[in-house]
Amino acid sequence: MENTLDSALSHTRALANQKVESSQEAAWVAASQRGDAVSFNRLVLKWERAIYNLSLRMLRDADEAAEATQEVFLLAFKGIRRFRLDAQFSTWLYRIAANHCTSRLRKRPPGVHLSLDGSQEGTEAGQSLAAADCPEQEFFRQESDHTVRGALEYLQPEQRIVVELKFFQEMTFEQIAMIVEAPLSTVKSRLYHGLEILKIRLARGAARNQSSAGGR
Amino acid sequence: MKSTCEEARNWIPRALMSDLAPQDEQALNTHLAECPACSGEQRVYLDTLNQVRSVSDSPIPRHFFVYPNERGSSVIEFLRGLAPGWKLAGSMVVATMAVVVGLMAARVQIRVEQGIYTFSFGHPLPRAVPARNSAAEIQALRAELTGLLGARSKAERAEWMNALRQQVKESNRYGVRQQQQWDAALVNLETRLNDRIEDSAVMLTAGMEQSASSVFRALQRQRQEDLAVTRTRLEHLATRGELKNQETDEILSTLLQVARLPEK
Repeated sequence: MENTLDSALSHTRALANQKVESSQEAAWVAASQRGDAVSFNRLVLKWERAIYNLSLRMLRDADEAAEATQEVFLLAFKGIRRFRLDAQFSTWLYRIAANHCTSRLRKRPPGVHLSLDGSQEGTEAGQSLAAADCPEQEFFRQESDHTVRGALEYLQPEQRIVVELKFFQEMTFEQIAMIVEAPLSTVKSRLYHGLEILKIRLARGAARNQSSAGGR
Repeated sequence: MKSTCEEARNWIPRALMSDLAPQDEQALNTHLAECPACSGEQRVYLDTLNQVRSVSDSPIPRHFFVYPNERGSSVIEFLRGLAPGWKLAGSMVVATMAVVVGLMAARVQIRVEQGIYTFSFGHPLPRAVPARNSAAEIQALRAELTGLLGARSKAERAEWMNALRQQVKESNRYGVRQQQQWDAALVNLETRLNDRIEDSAVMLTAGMEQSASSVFRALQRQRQEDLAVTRTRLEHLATRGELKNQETDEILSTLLQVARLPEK
C-alpha cells in the first residue's frame, strides 16, 4: 500500500516536473526567437549532451562530432525564428542534427569509415577506467560500446539515424518519421534492415571474441 | 513449415519493437515455443538489442554555447535592430527611390507651360510652339476655328438630316405596310359582312314568305268563319223578319178588322 502510494506520488512529481520543464523550454524558445542569446544557451545546455552523442554515434569521431554539434546549435540559433511554437523544440533540433550528420556522412568517400583518431577515445577510456569502481566491468562495458559503434559503421546514413533515434533517443516511429521527414513505412523498413545488419555484425564480433578467448 | 519459419523470422524484430498485430504476435509465440531455430534467432535479436541499448552516452568534451555575433549580420537583422525613427526615415527614402526608379523606367516626361502640366509616358513630348501675342494671328485662328466648327456643324447637320430622312423613310415604309394590312383586313371584313347580310336576307325572305302565307291562310279562315256567322245572322234576321212580317200582317189584319168593324 505504501509502495503504491510512493510510486503514484513519484509519478505525479515526474509529470509535474515534465510540465514545468516543457513550459520553461517554451519560454526559452520564445525569448530566443526575440534574439535573446542567453535563453538560447540555456537550451544548448539542456540538449548539448544528446546532440553531441547523436553526432558521435553517427560520425564516430569525437572531434568531428563536437564540430558538428557546434554547427547544429549555430544553425538552430540562426533559424530559431522559423521554428513554430506549436511544434516540439526537441523534434526540430533533432531534425537539424539528423540532416547535418547525414549530409556530413554523405560527403565522406564511399566505403566503411573507421576512425583512425582513436587516441582521444582511448584517453577518455583510460581515464574512466582508472576512475571506475570496478575497472574490469568498466573495461567490458567500453569494449561493448566500441563494438556497437563499430557495427553502426556498417549502416547506411539513413539507417543509422533511424537506429540512433529509436534505440538511443528512444523515440516513437511517428516522431522519427517527423524528424527524418519520411513515411512511417520507410522508417520501419530502414530500422528493420539496420537491425538485421547490426545483428549480423554483433553476432560475428561475439563469435570472433569467443574464438580468440578459446585460443588463449 | 519453412514458410512459417521465414514468416516468424520477419516477425521477430517487429514483435520486439511492439510493431506486430496481437494475433500475429500470438501466432509467433506459438511458433517460437515449437521451433528451437526461430527461438534461437529471437535470442540473437534480443542480445543485439540489449547490447545496442547498453551503449552509454559519452561525456561532452566542452559546452557548445552560441554567441550573438555568430548569427551573422544579415540585412534583415540589421533592419530589425534599427530604432523606429530610423526605420521610418529609411522606408521613406526607399519609397522615394522606388518612385524615382519607377518613373525612370516608365520614361516619364513632365512639362509645365503657363501653369499647365503635361505628362508623357514613353513618348517624347512635342516641341512647344513659342507663344506670339498677335491680334491678326488670333483673328486668323478664330476664323479658322469658326470655319472648322461651321464645317463640322454642317457635316453633323447633314449627317443628322440623313439619319432623320432614313428614319422617316423607314417610318413611311412601316406605315404603308400597316395600311396594306388594314386594307386587307377591311376587305376581308367587308366580304364576310356581305356574306352574312346575304345569308340574313335569304333567311328573312324565306321567313317573310312563310309568315305571309300563314297570315293569308289565317285571314281566309277568319273570312270563312265571318261569312258563316254573317250568313247565320242573315238567316236568323230573315227568319225574324218573316216573323215580324207575319206579326205585322197579323197586326195590320187585326187593325183592319178593327177599323172595319165600326163602318158596318
